[in-house]
Amino acid sequence: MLVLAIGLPMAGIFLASRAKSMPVALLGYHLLLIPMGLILGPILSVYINIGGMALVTRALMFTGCAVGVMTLLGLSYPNIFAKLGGVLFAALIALVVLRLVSLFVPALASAGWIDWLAAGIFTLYIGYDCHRAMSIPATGRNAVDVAISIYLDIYNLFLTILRLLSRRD
Amino acid sequence: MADQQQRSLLSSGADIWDRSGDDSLSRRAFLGLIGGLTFYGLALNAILATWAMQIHF
Repeated sequence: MLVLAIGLPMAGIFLASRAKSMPVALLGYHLLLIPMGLILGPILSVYINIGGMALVTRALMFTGCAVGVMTLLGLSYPNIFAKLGGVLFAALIALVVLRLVSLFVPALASAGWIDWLAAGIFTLYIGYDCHRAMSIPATGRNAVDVAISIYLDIYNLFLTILRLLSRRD
Repeated sequence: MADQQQRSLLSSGADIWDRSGDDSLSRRAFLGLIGGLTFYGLALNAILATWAMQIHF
């Protein structure tokens, strides 16, 4: 299960980022997509048990709104997001560290502000990746790379919003 | 959390900025391809997640 949850997606991202051709990059994308989709099923089952389909539908709506707004902003004002790259990456690393620490510190695990921080980071990352789409060479391989980034932003944002909403219910 | 680690792994791969080996697309086609691939990924995830729930994966 750990191989499915972490190993295959990591291998997929590694393959896609090192690919010399678009078909290989697409193979990497699918190595990421298939396990992430299969894992999403049991995760959604847990949240459906907590708050029903209404919870999932609300999370989908909030995610869709955030994606729409950030895509428009990222494509319309790429210069703003160009300056955010370093800050966002540092914030993402801090978030990963916080999540790791929260495995051993129960008080952190239940801290809602970490989820708000995560939601903010992934929301801004959508705009940043749209800025990247406007500024990197327009090749097939790069398209797969940016698609993977935006896909992961949306996936993570959706799960974070689900967690935030389930805390409120 | 694993997703975030994957995301940071992806962000650290700076080589995508330097790629210029294969055929270039128009910017509009490039953005369309990104949108299509992202939508395809999310749709495939929705199908797989539904199937995984049905078979109690």
